[in-house]
Amino acid sequence: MASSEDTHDWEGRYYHIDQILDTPGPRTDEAFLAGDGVKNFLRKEAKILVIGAGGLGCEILANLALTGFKDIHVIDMDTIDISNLNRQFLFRPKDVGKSKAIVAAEFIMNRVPGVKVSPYFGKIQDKDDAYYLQFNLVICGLDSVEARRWMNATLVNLVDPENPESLKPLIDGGTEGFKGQARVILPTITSCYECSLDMLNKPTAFPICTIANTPRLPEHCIEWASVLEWPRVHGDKKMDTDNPDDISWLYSVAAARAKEFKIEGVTWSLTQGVVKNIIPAIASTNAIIAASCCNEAFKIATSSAAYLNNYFMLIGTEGIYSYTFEHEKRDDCPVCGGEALELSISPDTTLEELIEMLTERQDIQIKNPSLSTSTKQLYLRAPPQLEEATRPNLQKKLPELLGPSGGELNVTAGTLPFSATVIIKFTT
Amino acid sequence: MHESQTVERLTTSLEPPSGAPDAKTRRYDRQLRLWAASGQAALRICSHFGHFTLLDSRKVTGADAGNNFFLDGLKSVGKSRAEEAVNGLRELNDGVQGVADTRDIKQVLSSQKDWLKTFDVVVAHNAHPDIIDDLAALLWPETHLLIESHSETAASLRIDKAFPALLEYAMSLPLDTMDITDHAHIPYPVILVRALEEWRRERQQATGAPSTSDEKKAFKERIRKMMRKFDEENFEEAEAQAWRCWTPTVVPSEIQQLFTLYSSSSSSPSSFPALVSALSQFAQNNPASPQYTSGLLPLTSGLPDMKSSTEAIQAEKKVFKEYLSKDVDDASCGYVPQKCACVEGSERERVERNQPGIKGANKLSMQPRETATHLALAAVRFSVGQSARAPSADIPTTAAFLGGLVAQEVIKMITKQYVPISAGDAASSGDGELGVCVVDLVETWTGVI
Repeated sequence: MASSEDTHDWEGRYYHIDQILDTPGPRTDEAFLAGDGVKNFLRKEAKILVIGAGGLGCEILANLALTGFKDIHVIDMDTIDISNLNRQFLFRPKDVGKSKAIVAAEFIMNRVPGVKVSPYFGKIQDKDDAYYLQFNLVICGLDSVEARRWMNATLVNLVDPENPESLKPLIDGGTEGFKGQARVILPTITSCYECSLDMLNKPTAFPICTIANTPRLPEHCIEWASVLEWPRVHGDKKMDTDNPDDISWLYSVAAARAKEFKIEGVTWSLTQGVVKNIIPAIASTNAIIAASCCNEAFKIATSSAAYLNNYFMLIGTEGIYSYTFEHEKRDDCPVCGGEALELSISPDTTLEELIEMLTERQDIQIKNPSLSTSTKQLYLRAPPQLEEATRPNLQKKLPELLGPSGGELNVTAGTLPFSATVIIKFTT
Repeated sequence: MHESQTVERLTTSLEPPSGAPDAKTRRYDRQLRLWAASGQAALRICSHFGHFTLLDSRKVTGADAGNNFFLDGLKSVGKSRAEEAVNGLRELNDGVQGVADTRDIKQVLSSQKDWLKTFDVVVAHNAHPDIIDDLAALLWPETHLLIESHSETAASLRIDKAFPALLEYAMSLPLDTMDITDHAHIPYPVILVRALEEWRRERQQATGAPSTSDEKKAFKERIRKMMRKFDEENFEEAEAQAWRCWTPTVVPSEIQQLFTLYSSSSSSPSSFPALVSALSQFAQNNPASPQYTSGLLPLTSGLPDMKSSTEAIQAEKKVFKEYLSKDVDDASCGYVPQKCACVEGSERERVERNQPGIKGANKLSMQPRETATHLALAAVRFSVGQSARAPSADIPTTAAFLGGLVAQEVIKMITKQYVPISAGDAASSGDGELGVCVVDLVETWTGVI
């Protein structure tokens, strides 16, 4: 009845959802405003942001629209590729080449009347804090670790303890083949995306000597073609992994290498998979994870039921196995922890070696960092004059820069909106 | 410039470096990476994916139109639910045929049972328990067979029962005098076979392996002493993999059970039982290793990656491969009965190459139909509290979650790849338990009972 004034609604439209919104359940929060209060909030006030309009994003948008969210925003920088069509069900062959965000928004608005979807075809980094502050919550359906880290750090930075509205719950979904995960992050309160960085699989890195001298796997031959042969033959020309001609070139060079070493299994598809680091994806896993994310969004927005605390992991390769657990906040998390990270290293370590360590450690993974102490700049990436001026420090050993007993370092993280404090101690 | 021409000349002399894949392959690229061409072919051939039928006798209500993304809002209200949903679904993929059928399932069950049997998979949802029971009874005798489980556990290298050619190769290497670089590139299985054989010869025994923890420790020390330089990684790898020497190669219990299950089914027209029976006979009379009268399956084709040189690994792969093809010939030519000559080569190869990954199960826990229906049943009762609160609520996110789970199971069954729900337990528990997945979307967890 509450929404009868909305011209788009028809009798019975929310018959199913309203059964949940009209009555509290046994595990419902006391703050739940059963009836019109919660329906009005969900359908007239709530504003939700979806990051990504790909495999998860398409499912998320459809679920949110059916659940009753009416003011949805979506950001995606990608255009539609033919390989998206097996699962990104808002797109048709005629849409190939168009913006995912725009096509998805139009489809949802046509199919579910009364829902407004505002697309943005561009990067999440283009938007400022004021933009993100307007939403009640954010759902990420991304395949990029870097984009997730950026979004996570941005939402953590947004939290102002004086203003409870500034805390934007972040729901993050991810899938790979038959596996996936969904999690609820309450910035500064629960563990954040950065806290769990060490749960990511380490990317397979093949030693360069294996690639150059003793290839054994088809992947070694493909790496040889892309890492060693491409720059040698093409000089500065950048490889475009979306260009089929470039993949074909790599494939034929890798295939020749494989033939020479009698290695089987180099194919065009494997070549593309290795150089683009393609993650297999299917519609059904996306459906499960997106449903789970939207279910959490619905429960949080309406307080109609308890929500996930805080990590749901699904493994569908052998039966249906899932694991729900509370991932713990890390006190030394560079984004939400507050405590400095302590590193005990040899006094023979140079600044360059330290930078390499910060890049490679699973729990840090800060690429292209700039480092300073409270009194001096040790190494800065930009501007070029400062880079040049600080470059000689790279070869110096740390005691020379920090003093014999070590000290505190400020590390800014390339393209990510946070900095970490690292305390260096020397082993004897 | 000169360099690039060399490369081009080199590459043009290759067999056709088939360029970019066709549009269809590109469309399905992200799933082909999971189940390859064989799985995709199964999906296409199977009437369910090249073709699906939606059976529903009811008309679209306002509640349905608000709840189903593939209905066209108010425009669909009052029309056939099957027809309206099929229209929406057909749009997804023009390579798939969708048919709406407006008969009542009760009517079909009473007068056209055989029609239901023409489908590869029947998914029932939100159906009355009586209907589910009738469907289960009708579709009961089917058995699901899984050929490629994509298991993440390592294949046996059969170190403890090395086949003669491998043993001979391992013993022929002049470890102390060979080139030091070659020495550092001997693949670890060869090192293990050599070390174990020397250990046995010292004890004048043909079989056996270190068993006490002291013996195992001494054995690892022995591998370490075989190193000629301190940093030979292949020997470090062999030491780490030494457990393979004292882990006996046996027929896995799931496959043992398949042998029992198919011991009397030689009359089956299907090729799979014939292959299982051939495997079973191979395991009983393995001609290649007469000293072991039973307990060995043909060798699997996969070798894990290991520290080695290209040449050394090729030599080892060659030894394995020659033996493998002999095993496959023995298993298929020797034991597949003549009347099953219709067994397709590719399927035969798939079965034999993947045999440690073969799982099979009988009766209802592996029933595609059963699993799907029971999964869907769980949707209705997704939690006691929720159903008391909303006895007839079909919330979109819950429906999508369960729909996704059912779809995953259906895909696994049709492609015969990956392991469907409760497959592991099914073989061992016989006709015991159902594979019922329970989902709680308040605290967000799933469980299989």
